[in-house]
Amino acid sequence: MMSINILLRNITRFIALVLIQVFIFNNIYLTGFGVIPVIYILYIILLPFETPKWLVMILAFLIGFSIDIFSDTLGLNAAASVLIAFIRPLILNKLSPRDGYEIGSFPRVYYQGVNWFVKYASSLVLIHQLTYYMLESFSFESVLIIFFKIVIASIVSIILIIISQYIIFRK
Amino acid sequence: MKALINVIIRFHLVLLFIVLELISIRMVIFEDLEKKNAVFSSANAISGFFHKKLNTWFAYFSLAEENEVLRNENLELRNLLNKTQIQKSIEKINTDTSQTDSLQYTYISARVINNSIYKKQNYITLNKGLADGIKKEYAVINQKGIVGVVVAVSKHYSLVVSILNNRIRISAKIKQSNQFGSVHWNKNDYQFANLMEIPNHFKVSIGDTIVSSGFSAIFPPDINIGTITQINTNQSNNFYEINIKLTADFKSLYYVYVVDNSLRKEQLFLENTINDEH
Repeated sequence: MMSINILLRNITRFIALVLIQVFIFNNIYLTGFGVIPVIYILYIILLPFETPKWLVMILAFLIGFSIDIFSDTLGLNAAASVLIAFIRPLILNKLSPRDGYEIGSFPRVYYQGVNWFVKYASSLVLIHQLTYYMLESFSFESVLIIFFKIVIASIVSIILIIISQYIIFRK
Repeated sequence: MKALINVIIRFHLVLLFIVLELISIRMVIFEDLEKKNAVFSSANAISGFFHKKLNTWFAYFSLAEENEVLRNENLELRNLLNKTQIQKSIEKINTDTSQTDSLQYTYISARVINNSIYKKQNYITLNKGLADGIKKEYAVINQKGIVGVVVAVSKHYSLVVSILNNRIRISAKIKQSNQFGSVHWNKNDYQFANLMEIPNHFKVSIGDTIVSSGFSAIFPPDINIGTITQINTNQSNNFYEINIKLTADFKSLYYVYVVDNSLRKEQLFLENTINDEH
Protein backbone atom coordinates (compact mmCIF):
# COMPACT_ATOMS: atom_id res chain seq x y z
CA MET A 1 0.00 0.00 0.00
CA MET A 2 2.75 2.35 1.00
CA SER A 3 4.74 1.70 -2.16
CA ILE A 4 1.74 2.28 -4.44
CA ASN A 5 1.25 5.55 -2.64
CA ILE A 6 4.86 6.54 -3.30
CA LEU A 7 4.56 5.47 -6.95
CA LEU A 8 1.43 7.56 -7.52
CA ARG A 9 3.00 10.51 -5.75
CA ASN A 10 6.08 10.28 -7.95
CA ILE A 11 4.06 10.11 -11.17
CA THR A 12 2.03 13.20 -10.28
CA ARG A 13 5.21 14.97 -9.19
CA PHE A 14 6.81 14.13 -12.55
CA ILE A 15 3.94 15.63 -14.52
CA ALA A 16 3.54 18.64 -12.24
CA LEU A 17 7.24 19.53 -12.33
CA VAL A 18 7.43 19.24 -16.13
CA LEU A 19 4.42 21.55 -16.53
CA ILE A 20 5.67 24.05 -13.94
CA GLN A 21 9.16 24.13 -15.48
CA VAL A 22 8.04 24.44 -19.08
CA PHE A 23 5.11 26.79 -18.80
CA ILE A 24 6.14 28.97 -15.87
CA PHE A 25 9.89 28.97 -15.26
CA ASN A 26 10.94 28.72 -18.92
CA ASN A 27 9.27 32.09 -19.39
CA ILE A 28 11.09 33.76 -16.51
CA TYR A 29 14.31 35.31 -17.75
CA LEU A 30 16.50 36.42 -14.88
CA THR A 31 18.97 38.60 -16.78
CA GLY A 32 19.62 40.12 -20.17
CA PHE A 33 21.36 36.89 -21.13
CA GLY A 34 18.21 34.87 -20.62
CA VAL A 35 19.13 32.74 -17.64
CA ILE A 36 16.34 30.33 -16.71
CA PRO A 37 16.04 28.71 -13.24
CA VAL A 38 15.79 24.89 -13.29
CA ILE A 39 13.17 23.55 -10.93
CA TYR A 40 12.38 20.18 -12.49
CA ILE A 41 15.53 18.56 -11.08
CA LEU A 42 13.71 18.64 -7.74
CA TYR A 43 12.30 15.40 -9.08
CA ILE A 44 15.70 13.72 -9.14
CA ILE A 45 16.71 15.34 -5.85
CA LEU A 46 13.61 14.09 -4.02
CA LEU A 47 13.60 10.46 -5.22
CA PRO A 48 13.67 8.15 -2.15
CA PHE A 49 17.03 6.83 -0.94
CA GLU A 50 16.05 3.23 -1.74
CA THR A 51 15.26 3.89 -5.42
CA PRO A 52 17.43 1.52 -7.50
CA LYS A 53 20.31 3.41 -9.12
CA TRP A 54 19.39 2.29 -12.65
CA LEU A 55 15.82 3.50 -12.13
CA VAL A 56 17.04 6.93 -11.00
CA MET A 57 19.02 7.21 -14.23
CA ILE A 58 16.11 6.15 -16.43
CA LEU A 59 13.70 8.50 -14.65
CA ALA A 60 16.22 11.33 -14.97
CA PHE A 61 16.53 10.65 -18.67
CA LEU A 62 12.73 10.63 -19.06
CA ILE A 63 12.15 13.90 -17.23
CA GLY A 64 15.08 15.59 -18.98
CA PHE A 65 13.83 14.39 -22.35
CA SER A 66 10.28 15.60 -21.61
CA ILE A 67 11.61 19.05 -20.74
CA ASP A 68 13.67 18.99 -23.95
CA ILE A 69 10.66 18.20 -26.10
CA PHE A 70 8.64 21.10 -24.72
CA SER A 71 11.45 23.64 -24.84
CA ASP A 72 13.07 22.59 -28.16
CA THR A 73 16.44 21.77 -26.64
CA LEU A 74 16.57 18.09 -27.71
CA GLY A 75 19.12 16.19 -25.65
CA LEU A 76 20.49 19.03 -23.52
CA ASN A 77 18.42 18.55 -20.37
CA ALA A 78 18.45 14.77 -20.81
CA ALA A 79 22.27 14.67 -20.87
CA ALA A 80 22.62 16.93 -17.82
CA SER A 81 19.95 15.03 -15.84
CA VAL A 82 21.42 11.59 -16.55
CA LEU A 83 24.78 12.85 -15.33
CA ILE A 84 23.42 14.08 -12.00
CA ALA A 85 21.46 10.83 -11.60
CA PHE A 86 24.71 8.93 -12.06
CA ILE A 87 26.55 11.12 -9.56
CA ARG A 88 23.71 11.26 -6.98
CA PRO A 89 24.65 8.00 -5.14
CA LEU A 90 28.25 9.19 -4.80
CA ILE A 91 27.13 12.47 -3.23
CA LEU A 92 24.64 10.67 -0.98
CA ASN A 93 27.45 8.39 0.18
CA LYS A 94 29.76 11.30 0.84
CA LEU A 95 27.13 13.18 2.87
CA SER A 96 25.82 10.10 4.66
CA PRO A 97 25.69 10.21 8.49
CA ARG A 98 27.92 7.75 10.35
CA ASP A 99 25.27 5.03 10.66
CA GLY A 100 23.61 5.59 7.28
CA TYR A 101 20.29 7.19 6.44
CA GLU A 102 17.37 6.37 8.71
CA ILE A 103 14.93 3.88 7.26
CA GLY A 104 11.69 5.55 6.18
CA SER A 105 13.33 8.96 5.81
CA PHE A 106 13.54 10.98 2.60
CA PRO A 107 16.16 13.35 1.15
CA ARG A 108 14.40 16.47 2.42
CA VAL A 109 15.06 19.32 4.83
CA TYR A 110 12.46 17.92 7.27
CA TYR A 111 14.36 14.65 7.73
CA GLN A 112 17.98 15.57 7.07
CA GLY A 113 18.29 19.20 8.14
CA VAL A 114 18.96 22.38 6.17
CA ASN A 115 22.70 22.03 6.24
CA TRP A 116 22.68 18.59 4.68
CA PHE A 117 20.05 19.51 2.11
CA VAL A 118 21.83 22.66 0.93
CA LYS A 119 25.05 20.71 0.33
CA TYR A 120 23.23 17.90 -1.44
CA ALA A 121 20.92 19.99 -3.63
CA SER A 122 23.47 22.62 -4.57
CA SER A 123 26.06 20.11 -5.73
CA LEU A 124 23.49 18.47 -8.02
CA VAL A 125 22.23 21.81 -9.36
CA LEU A 126 25.77 23.05 -10.04
CA ILE A 127 26.79 19.90 -11.93
CA HIS A 128 23.55 20.04 -13.91
CA GLN A 129 23.99 23.67 -14.94
CA LEU A 130 27.66 23.21 -15.75
CA THR A 131 26.93 20.35 -18.18
CA TYR A 132 23.90 22.11 -19.63
CA TYR A 133 25.66 25.34 -20.61
CA MET A 134 28.91 23.66 -21.68
CA LEU A 135 26.99 21.34 -24.01
CA GLU A 136 24.84 24.16 -25.31
CA SER A 137 27.68 26.39 -26.42
CA PHE A 138 30.28 23.78 -27.44
CA SER A 139 32.87 26.51 -27.73
CA PHE A 140 34.86 28.61 -25.36
CA GLU A 141 34.61 31.98 -27.09
CA SER A 142 32.43 33.39 -24.33
CA VAL A 143 33.66 31.66 -21.18
CA LEU A 144 32.74 34.66 -19.09
CA ILE A 145 29.12 34.68 -20.24
CA ILE A 146 28.78 30.94 -19.74
CA PHE A 147 30.28 31.25 -16.25
CA PHE A 148 27.93 34.10 -15.46
CA LYS A 149 24.92 32.10 -16.66
CA ILE A 150 25.91 29.02 -14.65
CA VAL A 151 26.42 31.02 -11.45
CA ILE A 152 23.18 33.04 -11.66
CA ALA A 153 21.02 30.10 -12.75
CA SER A 154 22.45 27.82 -10.06
CA ILE A 155 22.06 30.31 -7.22
CA VAL A 156 18.45 31.15 -8.09
CA SER A 157 17.56 27.48 -8.68
CA ILE A 158 19.06 26.44 -5.35
CA ILE A 159 17.18 29.18 -3.49
CA LEU A 160 13.89 28.18 -5.14
CA ILE A 161 14.49 24.49 -4.43
CA ILE A 162 15.20 25.22 -0.76
CA ILE A 163 12.12 27.43 -0.51
CA SER A 164 10.06 24.57 -1.95
CA GLN A 165 11.10 22.49 1.07
CA TYR A 166 9.34 24.91 3.39
CA ILE A 167 6.23 25.48 1.26
CA ILE A 168 5.36 22.27 -0.57
CA PHE A 169 7.55 19.38 0.56
CA ARG A 170 7.32 20.16 4.27
CA LYS A 171 7.06 16.58 5.41
CA MET B 1 29.68 -15.67 -23.01
CA LYS B 2 29.38 -16.18 -19.28
CA ALA B 3 32.22 -13.76 -18.75
CA LEU B 4 30.48 -11.16 -20.91
CA ILE B 5 27.26 -11.49 -18.93
CA ASN B 6 29.24 -11.17 -15.74
CA VAL B 7 30.83 -7.97 -17.02
CA ILE B 8 27.45 -6.56 -18.00
CA ILE B 9 25.97 -7.37 -14.59
CA ARG B 10 28.97 -5.95 -12.81
CA PHE B 11 29.11 -2.70 -14.77
CA HIS B 12 25.42 -2.32 -15.60
CA LEU B 13 25.22 1.12 -14.02
CA VAL B 14 28.16 2.53 -15.92
CA LEU B 15 26.93 0.91 -19.14
CA LEU B 16 23.42 2.33 -18.70
CA PHE B 17 24.95 5.72 -17.97
CA ILE B 18 27.07 5.61 -21.14
CA VAL B 19 24.15 4.49 -23.31
CA LEU B 20 21.80 7.21 -22.01
CA GLU B 21 24.48 9.91 -22.35
CA LEU B 22 25.30 8.81 -25.89
CA ILE B 23 21.63 8.99 -26.87
CA SER B 24 21.30 12.50 -25.38
CA ILE B 25 24.53 13.90 -26.75
CA ARG B 26 23.80 12.43 -30.16
CA MET B 27 20.53 14.36 -30.14
CA VAL B 28 22.33 17.57 -29.17
CA ILE B 29 25.05 17.35 -31.81
CA PHE B 30 23.33 15.75 -34.77
CA GLU B 31 20.00 17.51 -34.54
CA ASP B 32 18.78 17.47 -38.13
CA LEU B 33 16.48 20.32 -39.11
CA GLU B 34 15.23 18.46 -42.18
CA LYS B 35 14.15 15.43 -40.20
CA LYS B 36 12.66 17.36 -37.31
CA ASN B 37 9.46 15.81 -36.01
CA ALA B 38 6.65 17.94 -34.60
CA VAL B 39 5.85 15.30 -31.96
CA PHE B 40 9.26 15.85 -30.35
CA SER B 41 9.00 19.62 -30.31
CA SER B 42 7.03 22.42 -28.70
CA ALA B 43 4.65 22.23 -31.68
CA ASN B 44 3.08 18.98 -30.48
CA ALA B 45 -0.56 18.93 -29.44
CA ILE B 46 -0.04 19.12 -25.64
CA SER B 47 2.60 21.80 -25.71
CA GLY B 48 0.75 23.79 -28.36
CA PHE B 49 -2.45 23.67 -26.31
CA PHE B 50 -0.81 25.00 -23.14
CA HIS B 51 1.23 27.64 -24.93
CA LYS B 52 -1.88 28.86 -26.72
CA LYS B 53 -3.82 29.07 -23.44
CA LEU B 54 -1.00 30.93 -21.69
CA ASN B 55 -0.59 33.18 -24.67
CA THR B 56 -4.24 34.26 -24.68
CA TRP B 57 -3.84 35.35 -21.03
CA PHE B 58 -0.58 37.19 -21.47
CA ALA B 59 -1.65 38.76 -24.75
CA TYR B 60 -3.64 41.39 -22.82
CA PHE B 61 -0.45 42.96 -21.53
CA SER B 62 0.93 43.56 -25.01
CA LEU B 63 -2.31 44.68 -26.69
CA ALA B 64 -1.35 48.34 -26.93
CA GLU B 65 2.02 47.55 -28.49
CA GLU B 66 0.48 45.07 -30.92
CA ASN B 67 -2.10 47.63 -32.01
CA GLU B 68 0.65 50.16 -32.64
CA VAL B 69 2.56 47.67 -34.81
CA LEU B 70 -0.52 46.75 -36.83
CA ARG B 71 -1.50 50.41 -37.31
CA ASN B 72 1.95 51.21 -38.64
CA GLU B 73 1.80 48.28 -41.00
CA ASN B 74 -1.59 49.40 -42.27
CA LEU B 75 -0.18 52.84 -42.94
CA GLU B 76 2.75 51.43 -44.88
CA LEU B 77 0.49 49.21 -46.96
CA ARG B 78 -1.80 52.15 -47.76
CA ASN B 79 1.15 54.19 -48.92
CA LEU B 80 2.36 51.30 -51.03
CA LEU B 81 -1.08 50.91 -52.57
CA ASN B 82 -1.01 54.52 -53.73
CA LYS B 83 2.38 54.07 -55.33
CA THR B 84 1.50 50.84 -57.12
CA GLN B 85 -1.74 52.30 -58.45
CA ILE B 86 0.16 55.14 -60.07
CA GLN B 87 2.69 52.74 -61.45
CA LYS B 88 0.01 50.46 -62.83
CA SER B 89 -1.70 53.26 -64.67
CA ILE B 90 1.61 54.16 -66.29
CA GLU B 91 2.60 50.62 -67.20
CA LYS B 92 -0.82 49.38 -68.21
CA ILE B 93 0.61 47.62 -71.22
CA ASN B 94 3.04 45.45 -69.29
CA THR B 95 0.54 43.98 -66.84
CA ASP B 96 0.53 40.55 -68.47
CA THR B 97 4.06 39.66 -67.39
CA SER B 98 3.65 40.68 -63.76
CA GLN B 99 0.52 38.57 -63.32
CA THR B 100 2.30 35.30 -62.48
CA ASP B 101 4.70 37.13 -60.21
CA SER B 102 2.06 38.34 -57.81
CA LEU B 103 0.37 34.94 -57.68
CA GLN B 104 3.56 33.07 -56.85
CA TYR B 105 3.44 33.82 -53.12
CA THR B 106 0.46 33.35 -50.84
CA TYR B 107 0.41 34.47 -47.21
CA ILE B 108 -1.06 32.91 -44.08
CA SER B 109 -1.24 35.01 -40.92
CA ALA B 110 -0.27 33.26 -37.68
CA ARG B 111 0.27 34.14 -34.04
CA VAL B 112 3.50 33.49 -32.13
CA ILE B 113 2.62 31.42 -29.05
CA ASN B 114 6.12 30.54 -27.89
CA ASN B 115 9.41 32.24 -28.68
CA SER B 116 12.96 32.01 -27.41
CA ILE B 117 15.84 34.37 -28.12
CA TYR B 118 18.50 33.50 -25.56
CA LYS B 119 19.51 29.96 -26.53
CA LYS B 120 22.04 28.89 -29.13
CA GLN B 121 19.29 27.20 -31.13
CA ASN B 122 16.13 29.27 -30.95
CA TYR B 123 12.72 28.16 -32.15
CA ILE B 124 9.31 29.79 -32.46
CA THR B 125 5.95 28.04 -32.13
CA LEU B 126 2.98 29.24 -34.18
CA ASN B 127 -0.72 28.68 -33.54
CA LYS B 128 -1.41 27.34 -37.04
CA GLY B 129 -0.48 24.04 -38.67
CA LEU B 130 -1.34 21.49 -41.31
CA ALA B 131 -5.06 22.20 -40.97
CA ASP B 132 -4.44 25.82 -41.95
CA GLY B 133 -2.30 24.94 -44.96
CA ILE B 134 1.16 25.36 -43.44
CA LYS B 135 3.83 22.93 -44.61
CA LYS B 136 7.51 22.32 -44.01
CA GLU B 137 9.97 24.82 -45.51
CA TYR B 138 7.52 27.66 -45.76
CA ALA B 139 9.10 31.04 -45.11
CA VAL B 140 8.11 33.06 -42.05
CA ILE B 141 8.31 36.87 -42.17
CA ASN B 142 6.75 39.81 -40.39
CA GLN B 143 6.17 43.38 -41.50
CA LYS B 144 9.77 44.32 -40.67
CA GLY B 145 11.69 41.42 -42.16
CA ILE B 146 12.61 37.77 -42.21
CA VAL B 147 11.85 35.71 -39.11
CA GLY B 148 12.61 32.08 -39.99
CA VAL B 149 11.61 28.87 -41.75
CA VAL B 150 8.97 26.27 -40.81
CA VAL B 151 10.73 22.99 -39.93
CA ALA B 152 7.97 20.84 -38.42
CA VAL B 153 4.19 20.93 -38.53
CA SER B 154 1.54 19.23 -36.44
CA LYS B 155 -2.19 19.45 -37.06
CA HIS B 156 -2.78 22.81 -35.39
CA TYR B 157 0.70 24.12 -34.59
CA SER B 158 4.01 24.60 -36.36
CA LEU B 159 7.63 24.89 -35.32
CA VAL B 160 9.75 27.61 -36.89
CA VAL B 161 13.52 27.71 -36.77
CA SER B 162 14.27 31.37 -36.16
CA ILE B 163 17.17 33.25 -37.79
CA LEU B 164 18.58 33.21 -34.26
CA ASN B 165 19.75 29.63 -34.66
CA ASN B 166 23.30 28.66 -35.53
CA ARG B 167 22.04 25.76 -37.67
CA ILE B 168 20.52 27.74 -40.53
CA ARG B 169 21.97 30.06 -43.13
CA ILE B 170 19.89 32.37 -45.27
CA SER B 171 20.83 33.34 -48.79
CA ALA B 172 21.04 37.13 -48.89
CA LYS B 173 22.32 40.07 -50.91
CA ILE B 174 23.34 43.67 -50.37
CA LYS B 175 20.53 45.72 -51.84
CA GLN B 176 22.71 48.61 -53.03
CA SER B 177 25.34 46.56 -54.86
CA ASN B 178 23.55 43.26 -55.55
CA GLN B 179 26.42 41.31 -54.00
CA PHE B 180 25.37 37.87 -52.75
CA GLY B 181 26.27 36.28 -49.44
CA SER B 182 24.61 34.42 -46.60
CA VAL B 183 23.33 35.44 -43.18
CA HIS B 184 24.35 33.29 -40.24
CA TRP B 185 23.76 33.82 -36.51
CA ASN B 186 26.40 32.68 -34.04
CA LYS B 187 26.19 35.25 -31.31
CA ASN B 188 24.65 35.72 -27.90
CA ASP B 189 22.77 38.80 -29.01
CA TYR B 190 19.30 38.60 -30.52
CA GLN B 191 19.69 41.92 -32.34
CA PHE B 192 22.71 41.12 -34.48
CA ALA B 193 23.85 38.50 -37.00
CA ASN B 194 26.74 37.98 -39.43
CA LEU B 195 26.86 38.38 -43.19
CA MET B 196 29.30 35.88 -44.67
CA GLU B 197 30.89 35.15 -48.03
CA ILE B 198 31.27 38.74 -49.26
CA PRO B 199 34.72 38.93 -50.96
CA ASN B 200 36.78 41.83 -49.63
CA HIS B 201 37.44 43.48 -52.97
CA PHE B 202 33.81 44.58 -53.15
CA LYS B 203 32.84 47.93 -51.77
CA VAL B 204 30.47 47.73 -48.83
CA SER B 205 29.54 50.52 -46.47
CA ILE B 206 27.95 50.84 -43.08
CA GLY B 207 24.19 51.33 -43.35
CA ASP B 208 23.74 49.18 -46.46
CA THR B 209 20.55 47.12 -46.43
CA ILE B 210 20.64 43.34 -46.55
CA VAL B 211 17.68 41.64 -48.23
CA SER B 212 16.81 38.06 -49.16
CA SER B 213 18.24 36.98 -52.49
CA GLY B 214 15.30 34.92 -53.70
CA PHE B 215 17.63 32.09 -54.73
CA SER B 216 16.56 29.62 -52.09
CA ALA B 217 13.01 28.74 -53.22
CA ILE B 218 11.87 29.47 -49.67
CA PHE B 219 11.98 33.24 -49.25
CA PRO B 220 10.52 35.74 -51.71
CA PRO B 221 13.25 38.08 -53.00
CA ASP B 222 13.91 41.54 -51.52
CA ILE B 223 12.55 40.99 -48.01
CA ASN B 224 14.51 42.95 -45.43
CA ILE B 225 16.94 41.09 -43.18
CA GLY B 226 19.09 43.80 -41.64
CA THR B 227 21.48 46.72 -42.04
CA ILE B 228 25.26 46.67 -41.88
CA THR B 229 26.66 48.05 -38.61
CA GLN B 230 30.28 46.95 -38.64
CA ILE B 231 32.78 45.79 -41.27
CA ASN B 232 36.01 43.94 -40.47
CA THR B 233 38.51 42.77 -43.06
CA ASN B 234 39.93 39.32 -42.52
CA GLN B 235 43.36 39.03 -44.15
CA SER B 236 43.51 35.24 -44.00
CA ASN B 237 40.59 34.29 -46.22
CA ASN B 238 39.73 37.25 -48.48
CA PHE B 239 36.24 37.65 -47.05
CA TYR B 240 34.76 40.45 -45.00
CA GLU B 241 33.45 39.84 -41.52
CA ILE B 242 30.28 41.90 -41.54
CA ASN B 243 27.97 42.53 -38.59
CA ILE B 244 24.35 43.28 -39.35
CA LYS B 245 21.54 44.54 -37.17
CA LEU B 246 18.41 42.48 -37.80
CA THR B 247 15.33 44.48 -38.76
CA ALA B 248 12.82 42.08 -37.22
CA ASP B 249 12.46 42.65 -33.49
CA PHE B 250 12.57 39.14 -32.05
CA LYS B 251 11.89 40.27 -28.52
CA SER B 252 8.42 41.55 -29.35
CA LEU B 253 7.17 39.15 -31.97
CA TYR B 254 3.39 38.78 -31.95
CA TYR B 255 2.13 38.17 -35.48
CA VAL B 256 3.94 36.68 -38.44
CA TYR B 257 3.12 35.77 -42.03
CA VAL B 258 3.83 32.29 -43.33
CA VAL B 259 4.69 32.44 -47.02
CA ASP B 260 3.94 29.71 -49.51
CA ASN B 261 5.95 29.79 -52.72
CA SER B 262 3.77 27.99 -55.25
CA LEU B 263 6.67 27.57 -57.68
CA ARG B 264 8.93 26.04 -55.04
CA LYS B 265 8.41 22.45 -56.13
CA GLU B 266 9.14 23.31 -59.73
CA GLN B 267 12.36 25.13 -58.84
CA LEU B 268 13.58 22.34 -56.55
CA PHE B 269 12.75 19.70 -59.15
CA LEU B 270 14.68 21.58 -61.81
CA GLU B 271 17.67 22.11 -59.51
CA ASN B 272 17.68 18.44 -58.52
CA THR B 273 17.55 17.14 -62.09
CA ILE B 274 20.49 19.36 -62.99
CA ASN B 275 22.43 18.10 -59.97
CA ASP B 276 21.69 14.48 -60.88
CA GLU B 277 22.97 14.85 -64.42
CA HIS B 278 26.39 15.99 -63.27
